[in-house]
Amino acid sequence: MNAPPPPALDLEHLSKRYGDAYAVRDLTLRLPAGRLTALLGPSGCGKTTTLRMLNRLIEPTSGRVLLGGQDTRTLPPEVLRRGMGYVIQRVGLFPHLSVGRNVATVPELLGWPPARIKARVDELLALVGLEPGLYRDKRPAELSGGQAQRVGVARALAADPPVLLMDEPFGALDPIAREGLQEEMLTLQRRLAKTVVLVTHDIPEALRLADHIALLRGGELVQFGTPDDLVRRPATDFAARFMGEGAALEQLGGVRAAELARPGDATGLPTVPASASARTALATMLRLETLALAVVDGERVLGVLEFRDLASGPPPAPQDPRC
Amino acid sequence: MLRLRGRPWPWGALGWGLLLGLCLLPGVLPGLLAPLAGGEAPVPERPLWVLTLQHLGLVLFAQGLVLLLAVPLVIYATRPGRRAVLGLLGALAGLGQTVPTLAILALAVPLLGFGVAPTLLGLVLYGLAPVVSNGIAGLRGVDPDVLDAARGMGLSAQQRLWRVELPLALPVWWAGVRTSLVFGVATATVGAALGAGGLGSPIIGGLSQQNPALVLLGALPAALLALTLDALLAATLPPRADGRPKSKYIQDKPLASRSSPQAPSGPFSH
Repeated sequence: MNAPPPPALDLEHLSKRYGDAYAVRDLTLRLPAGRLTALLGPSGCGKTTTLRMLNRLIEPTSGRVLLGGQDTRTLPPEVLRRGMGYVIQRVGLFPHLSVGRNVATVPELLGWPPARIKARVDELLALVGLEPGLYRDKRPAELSGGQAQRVGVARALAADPPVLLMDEPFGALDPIAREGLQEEMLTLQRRLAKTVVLVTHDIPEALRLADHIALLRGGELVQFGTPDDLVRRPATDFAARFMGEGAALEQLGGVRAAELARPGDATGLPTVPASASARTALATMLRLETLALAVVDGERVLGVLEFRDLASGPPPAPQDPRC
Repeated sequence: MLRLRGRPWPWGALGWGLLLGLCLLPGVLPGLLAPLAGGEAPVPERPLWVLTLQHLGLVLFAQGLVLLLAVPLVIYATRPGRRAVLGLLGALAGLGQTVPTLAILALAVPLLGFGVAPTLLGLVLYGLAPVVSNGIAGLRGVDPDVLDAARGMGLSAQQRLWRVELPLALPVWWAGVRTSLVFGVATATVGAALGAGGLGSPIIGGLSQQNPALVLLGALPAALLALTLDALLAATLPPRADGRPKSKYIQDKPLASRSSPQAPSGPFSH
């Protein structure tokens, strides 16, 4: 896919007022291009309202949103939305259409030729881990929750939109399906590098998936930073309390042991598989009462992981994820 | 609208239809009913098949008017921001059904005189109720998450209506049309009292002459006509939109009773 580079989203003094109450108040925020930003916060903090103002499902009371520098109000809402994939918690697949036709929705609206649509549908189903031949003609009612949300993601990505908006996309899934989908979302995002906005109240999910986190409370921005910033350098008492003592541990859940491993002498050390998370590695260290592990991929030793590597946190994100 | 592909044959419609056809053959039904009238075969004023076609024409014409009125009305009232209109329409539809048919017909006569006109008015007023209320129920019953997704993906209001709302509302709406049509067949017999003709005329004649055979001569074909139409509409009912596998035949009765407050009931359901 040779899509143009994704745009950044700039929120400028964005407010939404219902009567006397502000759902979102004077929010100024830059959602970096090609990165996944989580809008994190407790219920009623305005994160969903913020998301829905990005594709104008809700019109702001004041302020504006710039998409790649262009005011979103200059575009017809339908055109704006077709350039932004939209994934919601309860998926909202069209129950009267097959999986394939669901995925084909936006390409059909855009008037793609049928052959291109068909190829694109199969490509996307494969991308989200659903065998096209098996799933293309199924009805949404025949899918499990996890499969339905995979189709939801495929449908949102169908016309290759540069921006992807996700409103608690994995919130309704059981823990196993959720982790599987989060893992695939990471892989997908490494490949596609879209500008993704993810609304969530799930701290581990934000730490695991996000390049940046915007922590909201009462419709206002509390802190914007990397997951590491929020865990180690909370800006306010609220940020510290909300992230909680477990946050450092959760953060390790989003890092692979192999990413933290360094070259060294691994002779005689207990091993941990490269695919395991740093959190699993830490648990292994605690269980075996050791300060170092050999990170292995099958028989091959990739490096040594020491306790202080875990304590210093994950490495900074690479500057260009599309390498 | 005939969507028979991938479904079993509509045996019901076929069976009732054949039975109706048999009854309309000259002499068959009068011969069968003769014992009730002391061996004398009842004679309708016009051939039975003419009366049946008259009856069917009246009902279908009225149903056409009902659809022409109800469909735009319901779509208009269910658009966002028209809560008041929707409430009013729902209330009127409910009211329409509580007023007895005979009262509507009797009230129409002073305005329109005798004949087809007051009968048509009665049929339309009475037939609107199930179509309107099922239409509202069908369109309002569309999953809000599905609509939110459709809107968020960039479907315009019109595209949402045609691609999402109407297909999803159609099964419930169609059930309302079915009710309306079946009741219409029964209601139209009353129209004969106003001189609208149809299968009601032997019934009215039989009542005044105290001839049960003549009553049955109109009543039996009318019932068979209703059963035929009911089965036909059940067979053409759009598949449930919630994605049951295509191969599974849609059982009309559970669907009708579950999805529609106006499902055909009593002698017409089977």
